[in-house]
Amino acid sequence: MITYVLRRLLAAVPTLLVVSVIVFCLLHALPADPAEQILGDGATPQALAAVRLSYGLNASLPVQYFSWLKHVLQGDLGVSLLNQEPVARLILARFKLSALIVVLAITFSALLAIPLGLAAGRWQNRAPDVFIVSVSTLLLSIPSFWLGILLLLLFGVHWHWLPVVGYVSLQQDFLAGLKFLVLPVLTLGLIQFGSFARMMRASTIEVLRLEYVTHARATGLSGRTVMWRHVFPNAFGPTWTLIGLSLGNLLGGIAVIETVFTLPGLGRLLVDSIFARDYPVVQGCLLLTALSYVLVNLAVDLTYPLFDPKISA
Amino acid sequence: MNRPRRALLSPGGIAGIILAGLPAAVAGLAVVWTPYSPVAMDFDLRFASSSWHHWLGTDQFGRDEASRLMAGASASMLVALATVTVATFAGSILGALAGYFLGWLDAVLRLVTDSLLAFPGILLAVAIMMALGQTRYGIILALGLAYFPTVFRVVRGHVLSLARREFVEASRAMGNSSAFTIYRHVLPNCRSPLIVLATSMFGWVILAESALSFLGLGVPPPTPTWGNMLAESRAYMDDDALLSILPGLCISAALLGVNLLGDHLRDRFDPRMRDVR
Repeated sequence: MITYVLRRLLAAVPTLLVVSVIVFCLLHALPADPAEQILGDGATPQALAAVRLSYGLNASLPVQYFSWLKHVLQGDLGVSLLNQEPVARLILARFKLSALIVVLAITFSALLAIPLGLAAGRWQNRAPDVFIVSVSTLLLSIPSFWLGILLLLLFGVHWHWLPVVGYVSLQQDFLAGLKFLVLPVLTLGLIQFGSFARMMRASTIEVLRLEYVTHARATGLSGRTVMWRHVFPNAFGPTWTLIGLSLGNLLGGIAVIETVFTLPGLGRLLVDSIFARDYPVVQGCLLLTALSYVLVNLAVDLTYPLFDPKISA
Repeated sequence: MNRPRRALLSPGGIAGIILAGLPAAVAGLAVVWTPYSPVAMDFDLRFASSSWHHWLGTDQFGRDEASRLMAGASASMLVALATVTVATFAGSILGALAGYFLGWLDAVLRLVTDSLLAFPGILLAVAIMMALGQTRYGIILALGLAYFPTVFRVVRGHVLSLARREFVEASRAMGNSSAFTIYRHVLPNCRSPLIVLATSMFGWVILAESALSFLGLGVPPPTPTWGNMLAESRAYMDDDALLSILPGLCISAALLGVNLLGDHLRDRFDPRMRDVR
């Protein structure tokens, strides 16, 4: 087990290094001169030279990359060009909100989709199944930002139940803050529901064909016991993988949701920083998101042996 | 040996073709004709409701909504078509080379594609758009780069098993060049998974393009796309809810069509592809 964990951890290192090269290159492949970007138009040559010197922009790209990487590994992501705030602190604060929304949404979605997926698989091609599959396919075809806008139109503009713009953090006022989280979590949760339910249904159908299920039924166990005790544990693996993948995917795609609901999360920070040309913040956001994606996938991989003892070998 | 023939098209497949075909047809029409210019403003007619002259009303600048939705269809479809073509070609060629020759080429390509896949969702496209600047070609390149690793993985895996099959060895034994063998014997056998993948990818790209445009990182305004129309409507929700509803309805209908078609093709060609994403 320990060797398995170590092997997987080591395998992630080259990926992360190439990710850092990609992030670094993206910003240095820009046609514009970074020093001009920092100072804006109309900077004097002397000022440009001074900035190049202080940011180490005169060195060759590989040298710049390694010195940047060294700082990153020490947790130093530089300072924001806009307000001189350390990037690491800035993005961590925003990351918490995004992560909270994503985790809540996935939990909500999984709790809804797993039982319904099991039910759909059990009553394959009957009314409940047709209904669940139709709803899932429909939800898979709705862009998250549009569903968000529709919910906002309904609950915010039409019924005035929930706020349309603005944000209050949970620390400031728990109940008011909760109101701002309801719709984003509901939106992302519903969007995820389709893929979770379909995956759960598909693996339930596969497991139900196996002989041990017939045997379990033949021993006189109730239908519910067979489903939860014998079918669910074996059918859950693929859905669990999908849940892990979605965790990272949602983090990457959360910018649109944060735009709809005007939330100050990591995705919105990334997009705003792109428009503001605040490149150290952009680098930080990209790195942090990619890193958390890789780590989440790794964590999911490491839990495989729980579902499939054959893998731990 | 009379096996029962499977129906060529399931009801879902037919619904998919209709739902996906409609926006495609509208997109084609919009290239040559829209009722009004999609960018012509008329400040006397802001937020007009639907009428004989403006079927779906007008937006915050008095632009004809129906014309804009039509033009948006052609923008989305064009980007999706070009992106899927780029990603499929690049992914299949590199995937076939990696799976066939293995060795250092395979190792390098896998490291690069795995790292590209380490960027979740549309994040990679966002980053590339930033580097390339906001143009229609930029978005095609950005989304193409973001999606070709998936094609690469599928084709490589397929070629890996094909390269050891007898008919490929026979081709080699006959003295055919590697290039000829790959082109004539290996790639044609990857056709079914590629068709299935390209269809699903068409849907992902429509979604990703509209998300990028929604964020303001896609096709730049005033060219209408469904995504940037939705983004602009966000500020006018109180004035005219229809502006927030119609573009999303178009995206969803096109996506539902592509998804239904994709499900149908997958069942028909390659049941094992269900989990690929």
